[in-house]
Amino acid sequence: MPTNLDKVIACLRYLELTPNAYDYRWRFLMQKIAFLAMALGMDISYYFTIYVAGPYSRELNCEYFPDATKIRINNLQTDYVLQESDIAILEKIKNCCDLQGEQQLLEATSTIVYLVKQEPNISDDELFTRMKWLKPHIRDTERIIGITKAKELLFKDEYMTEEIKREIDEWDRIDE
Amino acid sequence: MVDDISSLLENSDKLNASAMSLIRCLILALLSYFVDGIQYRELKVALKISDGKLIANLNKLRDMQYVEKSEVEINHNKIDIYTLGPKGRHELNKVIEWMELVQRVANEEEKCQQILTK
Repeated sequence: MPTNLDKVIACLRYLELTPNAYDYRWRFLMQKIAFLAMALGMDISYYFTIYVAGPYSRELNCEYFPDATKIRINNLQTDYVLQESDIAILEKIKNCCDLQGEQQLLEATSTIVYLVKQEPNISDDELFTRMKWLKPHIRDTERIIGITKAKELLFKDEYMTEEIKREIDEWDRIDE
Repeated sequence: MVDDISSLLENSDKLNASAMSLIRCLILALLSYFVDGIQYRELKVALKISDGKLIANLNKLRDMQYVEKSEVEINHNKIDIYTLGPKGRHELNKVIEWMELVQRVANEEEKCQQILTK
């Protein structure tokens, strides 16, 4: 029976990352990736908090705390075989987020995904305000980009109705 | 009851009063939850206190070797990360045990009050 951690390691492997679990920045990245994968529907069941250093799971943190586990993570050792649905989720994350780029943008995106999952009808203005309150160190531009990226991540194919398709086509033809 | 009271008094002597302020207890509790550590800026937002006050409290906790500071570079910025040291965890456990005594004693008091008001 694969554990949650096996699944997280499988995510890191699929995303072609070379983690160093002894480094704070990698642990930070691992927390955000695990949260995004879970929020987007992967069968991972950690509890995450949004506050202080969130999205953050203490459970996940405790699991990778032992040296032996850190080494396992660094070597990307896992028995979990990703399902097709997992791969679709990870592809979405890979295409939408620059995982090795600006960490603050990933922090903004994952925080906004958390807020939207909690309150699906939350407005952009409210998201912006809450982000400012929760994470004032994140710049306004990162908040705005984070909102767009969170929407992209949470977008489902069934949202693409004929009406929306027509509207997008019209926008695409605007220069013709 | 007598045992709890004597333990309450005796164990209070074993606590480090310098670690018992609200801010310092909060810092120790937060750092025990966020095992990876907390960035200085995250602590500042969480505690809603001035830089001067936060630095003074963190330095005091560092002097007592309760918390440890390290530095990482995130997107070209040097960020201070604070983690709980073994001594800090030990002190926090003592505080928790003592608070459990406080709770037990307070509950006994509550039970007595209920009996007396009947």
